[in-house]
Amino acid sequence: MATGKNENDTGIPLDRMIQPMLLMLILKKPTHGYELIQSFNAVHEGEIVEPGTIYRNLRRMEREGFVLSGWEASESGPARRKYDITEDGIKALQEAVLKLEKQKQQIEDFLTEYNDLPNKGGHSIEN
Amino acid sequence: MKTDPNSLKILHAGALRKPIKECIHILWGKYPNLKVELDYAGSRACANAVAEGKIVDVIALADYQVFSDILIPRFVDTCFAFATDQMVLAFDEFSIDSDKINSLNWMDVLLSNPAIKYALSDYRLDPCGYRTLMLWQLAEKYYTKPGLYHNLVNGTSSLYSKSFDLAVALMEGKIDYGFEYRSVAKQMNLQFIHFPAEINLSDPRLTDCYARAKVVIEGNSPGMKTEILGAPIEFAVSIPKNSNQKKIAQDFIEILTGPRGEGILEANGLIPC
Repeated sequence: MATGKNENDTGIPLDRMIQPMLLMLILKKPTHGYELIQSFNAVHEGEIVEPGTIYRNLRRMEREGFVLSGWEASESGPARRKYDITEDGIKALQEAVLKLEKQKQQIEDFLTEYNDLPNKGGHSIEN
Repeated sequence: MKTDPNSLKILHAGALRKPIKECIHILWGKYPNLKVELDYAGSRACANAVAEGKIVDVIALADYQVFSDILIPRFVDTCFAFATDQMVLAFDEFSIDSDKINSLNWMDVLLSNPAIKYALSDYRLDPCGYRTLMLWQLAEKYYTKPGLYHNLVNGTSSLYSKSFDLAVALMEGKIDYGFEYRSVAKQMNLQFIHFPAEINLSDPRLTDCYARAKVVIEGNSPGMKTEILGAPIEFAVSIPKNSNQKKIAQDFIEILTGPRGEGILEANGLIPC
């Protein structure tokens, strides 16, 4: 991803929903990458987001000012880099949510229009 | 070897050889006249050396559990996880049956041709070695192949003291295949086969699955045994309590774990975390 605003003007890419998901998880609870990977649920069915992809997105968001990290000691394991969301990160997440609401409405409008068609092309499709 | 009391002494896992060297070059930008003494071995061998009195300023290992097991709290206060990796099967174009092997048949290829030599690093000294044994245990269950673990153990041609030596043996043609970290295979320009996440020790989501694998090695005292459970791979670094160069050691760790170090780790096939 190029730095700065993307084509959605949200500051974070929405195609795979990786950064919005990470920002939401960090907003709920500042934590480290290891735990974020354990909590991360891919939005797209069947998709497995690799740990390396999550770590790279965290570092990218830190470079872009959406999250900040610092070392957090642990009683049972090593100190790990803990991520917290910044004001810019909260703003980027809010913008992403607005964009997603708009996309959701567009999809719903499309489905309504399609389902209202009296003839859907002459073929029935079974789910 | 005679050591210089003013030099920065870094002891590290063999798999970190290249990225550590590159980070030292950045450190020299701040300390141009600094002498650096680099030493490397399997991670358990590194930790045992510090526990036996070796004085170093930075210790970087391939498994944070080695810190917990041998060094914390007596020799080290805490350690910092800075990179992850995964296990792969490395080979080159001269390896026997390299044109036949793939991610589905690797165990059949290794076990069916007696001319093939495959190896691992020494599980008593090096996490890459015990992680290989864990991978084999997990593979036996994942592929539902009873006896696979013992067959692979029995067919092993040799043990190398660290993963770096294993890769060198592969490049020199002493072995055909080596169970390696992906980062080492990439650094050495070796070909490799990816394993599924369920057995390659890369994914924190599979922590419980990995913990079903277990390796028992000699403990730190005579007659004692240490049990090591499978876990996602995490490299960690620390400054030992008896370091003579804590400030410079801290600067080095900030480079290794900072943006420039992350770039170096990534370029060397590791995943900064």
